[in-house]
This record gives sequence, structure tokens and C-alpha cells, in this order.
Amino acid sequence: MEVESGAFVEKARAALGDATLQHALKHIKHGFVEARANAAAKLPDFEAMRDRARDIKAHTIAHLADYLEQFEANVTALGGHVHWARDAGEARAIVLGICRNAGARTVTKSKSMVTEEIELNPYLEEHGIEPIETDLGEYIIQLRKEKPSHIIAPVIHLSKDQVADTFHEHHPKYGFHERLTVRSDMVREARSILRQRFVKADVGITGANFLVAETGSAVVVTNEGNADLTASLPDTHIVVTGIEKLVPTLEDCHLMLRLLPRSATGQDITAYMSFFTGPKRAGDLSGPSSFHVVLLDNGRSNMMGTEFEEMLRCIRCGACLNHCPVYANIGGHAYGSVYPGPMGAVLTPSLAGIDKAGHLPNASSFCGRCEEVCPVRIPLPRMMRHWREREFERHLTPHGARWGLHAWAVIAASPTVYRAMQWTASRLLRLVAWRGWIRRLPLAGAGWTSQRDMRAPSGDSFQRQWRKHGGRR
Amino acid sequence: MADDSRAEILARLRQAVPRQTAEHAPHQAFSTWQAPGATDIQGRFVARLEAARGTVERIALLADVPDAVARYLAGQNLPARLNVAPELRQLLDFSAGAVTIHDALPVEDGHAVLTSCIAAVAETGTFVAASGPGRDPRLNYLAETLIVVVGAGQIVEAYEEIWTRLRVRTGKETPRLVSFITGPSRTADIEQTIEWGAHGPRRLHVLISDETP
Repeated sequence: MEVESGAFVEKARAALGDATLQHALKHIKHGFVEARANAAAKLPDFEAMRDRARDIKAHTIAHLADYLEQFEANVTALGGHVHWARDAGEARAIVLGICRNAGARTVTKSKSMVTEEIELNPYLEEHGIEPIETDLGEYIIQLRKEKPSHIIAPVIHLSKDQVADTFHEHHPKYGFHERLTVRSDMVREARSILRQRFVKADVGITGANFLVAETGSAVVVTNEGNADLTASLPDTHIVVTGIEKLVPTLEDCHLMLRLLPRSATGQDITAYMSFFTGPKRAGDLSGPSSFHVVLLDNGRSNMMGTEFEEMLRCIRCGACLNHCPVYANIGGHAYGSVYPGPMGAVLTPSLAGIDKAGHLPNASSFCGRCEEVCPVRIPLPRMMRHWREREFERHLTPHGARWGLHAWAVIAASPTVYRAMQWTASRLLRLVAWRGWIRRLPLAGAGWTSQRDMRAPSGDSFQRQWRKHGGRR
Repeated sequence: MADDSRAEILARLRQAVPRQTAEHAPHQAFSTWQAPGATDIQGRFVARLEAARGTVERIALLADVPDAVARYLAGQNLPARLNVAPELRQLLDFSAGAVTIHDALPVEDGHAVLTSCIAAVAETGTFVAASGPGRDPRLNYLAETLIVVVGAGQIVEAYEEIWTRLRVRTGKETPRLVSFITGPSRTADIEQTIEWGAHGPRRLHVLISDETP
């Protein structure tokens, strides 16, 4: 996977100073975070369902090869085709081959992070096939030649005015010349343009939120209904997805589907939740006559048996992004990967290599909110720590940080040295403080005080106070 | 090359020793949120549907559908133009003439569409569309205004029951499309504010009939 995570520090700094972005990011707290809390509170068994979801995914991942074969057999029995792709290049070539066989000129697409991961759109364009994103957010991104900044809300970084400008720039060729200012008018205009594209497309490409082994179904959820139009109007339907999306049964799938929207947007259910199983049958009045599923590995099987294996449980709900204080302050683009936030900090190094994405697992305060809200209870902070260890072992950590960690190891390993250092540091910090606050620190401390003030130490250390109270509270 | 990829991916998955294991426990039903005050299944379905911005009218007979449709369209100030789903065409008599019937696929906005469903789910106020002989589920997504006839006896409590019912009717095979639809189409992509009618219906009206189509 190609990433631009090397420039994380510079991009994060720029994001903090970007007033438009900072304003846009404020929507997360009042939208997703509160909505998830309300949805979870309304469901009496929500926590027990999360345990069960974790176990279903853990079981499936442990027996993934068997479930993949079962899924393949069921799709094939219905006249569908399953294709296996080791990497992004193979997946792109498979999709292009199917499109060429269908004589395709235009392809409608519903939102799919896996097709973002394999950078399918530029590849199709290079080969003379026009991909048309139909999820409103993805459509805006495509017009702006940007990448999504959130795995479920691709244009969360944009303001209404920016969307208005984008439409005003690109829609005159469809006969729309007015710059719109009302959201509902913008949606109406995009709807009428995309409706014509839906009807004329030769191939429809969707992702899959889940694959059901016992039936060979691909399951897609949307609020717009665009995946259903993408999968139902053209004569060819291609599902492009990762090998980890399997669940054994329909009942398992419904459990996951009760957790996914509640964790993602706080909805009890999305407007559309559709199971696509094989091509159209004899007697069906509509539906594609050709059905393909492309199963992408691209580094996932290498996570099996490692400390990152549990990441394969991820159902891409985005709750960890929504609840992450780092993501909330810098947005998704700074991460330089289509998978940002805590899940991206674990997944991106797994797929692209820690040498290319080392900053990401370091961009965490380990506050643990991501793990608290993960519907399948992935221990994200622990996995970020594993990446930091690997980075350190491979000498990828910057020299200054390595020196600092070594020094810290010496201090922390000896109680006497630790207490002496703490006493000295506390004294010095209180010397430079003014009314309980420190405005500016030299050396490593400047990194903290360049952005914000620091509280002065209160005096006695915790250990001294503990002793003073005789080891009691 | 294709066979190599398949073999290699499966081999890598089988060679690794998984770190997580869990038995595949039998299906377990969890309690789902129920609308306060609504004691019967139909009441729960209606409460959840209304919470998802759907509207409802209860009717006794299928013969009441044409009048109910005409009343709804007039009440909403919508043109009295209607596409009727194929499976309902023989069942309903629109010859009284209050609405004009169109057969072409409703690609352009301005049409209302009348469809039926294979079942409905009280859990979230959802109706279930499916492909099958003589059915065209595309109508559910293309309509600007969607009116769905739900038989009172078609409402089940939870999603899982849909599959049990389907298997009784169609045997083991799953239809090409089974679609759980809840409320009108919507998007919150622009500044996290909900707008209705993203690609599918702007309005969803459900006629609950004592008689099942």
C-alpha cells in the first residue's frame, strides 16, 4: 500500500493551524460521539453483544481459510465468480479484466475503502474506463481529486462553502450554472447528475461490510441507497473487499449489523442494509447477470499469528477515529493513509511497513478511548505499543528519542535515582513557574510549551505523600 | 497466476498459528430496544418507522390501497402519477382513475412508486424487499416517493426471522437481493447535517393492510 505518512509531523502541524479544518472537525463531537453514546444506552445488551461480536470475529479469523473456501463454493454454485488477489496490483488487474470483458466504458462505484487502498480509480482511468463515485462524500472527493479523510465520512474535513465551490466549478457541463448555498439544493443537484450516470453505467463496483460464508452473500450498508443502485442497475456487479470480512452465518452477520451503525453514526440501523447473493436468477425481472467477488489479501494474511492479528477483527465503523483526541485535532489527511486514526495507526504499518508509517503508532496519548468504544474490542493502544517496540528494535526511532528512552530506562530502573531526579526536576520546574503555570521550557520541554502552558508540580511527589499518610488514602 | 494467488493466500492463513481462538457458539438472541408504550408488534413497528421519518396509514383491505394512495399524494401536493410494482398490478384496481399509472422505470424524479415487501421488522421499523420471479426491487431505490404495502401478518420481531421465512418459501437458496430498508434515503456527508432523498426516496409512506398482498 502506498502511503505518505512520512510527512505526518509537518502535516499535523499545518492541520492545527488550518481554521477551516478546525471548524469542520468540531462536528464530530456533537454528531458521532453523542449519537453513539445514546444508541448504546438504548440497547440493554450492548456490552454483551460486543463480547459476542469479538468472539465471532476471533473464531472466524482463526478458521479464515476454511470460511473463505466455504464462501467461494457458495458463490460459485450460484454461477458467480471469486477472484483472489495477493496484492493491490493483482486486484486492479482482475477488476480491469472483468470491466473489459463487459465492454465497459463507465463504472459506478459505491463507497469502498478497499478500492481506495488499492487506488483503483486512477488505474481504471489510465486504461480508458471512467469510474464514477456515487456516495455523495466520495463524489465530492473525486471532483476535488482528494482522498477521503475519514473511513465513513469522507468529506468531514470540508465546509458547505467548499462543497458549493466544487459543484459550481464542475457542474456547468451538466447545465447547472448557479452557485448553490443551501445544502438540500446541493444534494438535489448531485442526485440528478448521478441518476443519469447510474442508469448508463456498464459495471457497478461495491465493497462489502461483511461476507457471509454459509450463503456466499456480500453485505453492504448505506444511508443513501447508492450501493443498491450500483449493484442493481448495471449488468455486471463486482464486489471488491478484504479477506477478513467473513462471518460464518446470517445470524452472526445480523449481530455485527446491530453493532456497526450504532458504533459508527449512532443510528440503530442504516437506511439500507442489503445482502447480494450471486447473479440474477431465472425469472428475476432485474439484477446483474454477472457477479464477481475480488478477495484482497495485500498484507492481511501476514498479520495472522502476530501481535497484530486481532486487528483483522476490525469492521471499519470509525468509532475509534471519532473518539480519538489526536484525530479530532488534526483530521484524517495528516496520517497520509486512507486508514487514519487509531485503527489506521495499527493497520497502516501492517499493510505498508513500519519504515513508511512509523509516525502513526506514535501519534497517540494512549488515553484508551479507542479501545473503550471498539465494537469488537480490539486492543488498539497495546498494538500501537507493539509497533513502537518493533520500530525501536529496527533502529527506526529517531536518534534523540532513542537516547531519551535509554536515559529514561536508567532512571526508571533505580528507585533512588528516580526519586533524586524527580525531586530535582520538581524543584527546578517550580522555580520557573509563575502562579502555578509554566510558560516556556528549554530543550525537550520546548516541545510542550511551544503549543500550550504546563502546570507546575504541586510540591511533594505522590510517593512522598503516600508515605506521609502511612500508605493509606 | 490466479490459482497461485488463491493457493498462496490460503496456505499463509493455514500456516500461521492463530493467537485468538473462540468456539463458534450457537446463535444467541439479545434483547433489542423496544418503543416505550407500544405493547404489540405492529405498534412497535410503527413507532420505529416514524422515528426513522416514515409515515403510516392503516387500512383494512387491499382494495383500499388505490384510495389511500390517491389521498396520500393529494395530501402531500404531489402529482397523481404512479408506478405500480409488477407483483401488485394484477391485485389492485386503479381503474377509478384518481391516479395515472406509468409502466416505465421511474428514472426521472416526479413519480411515486407503489411496491410490496416480503416481510417487515418491528425491531427498527424496517421493510424487506427481495428479488424473485415477477419482482423488480430496483423500484424501491429509484422512486422519489415510495409507498409500500405491508401486510399486518408480515411483521416479525427481529431480522433473523426473515431468513427463516424466506427459506420456508424459496427452499434453501438465498435470493439474489434481500434488502432491509428503513425510512427514506438520506446523507449527512455535508457538515454532518441530514438531508433526505440522497439517491433513493425523499418520502416513505407505509400502508399497513390487514390483508397481505
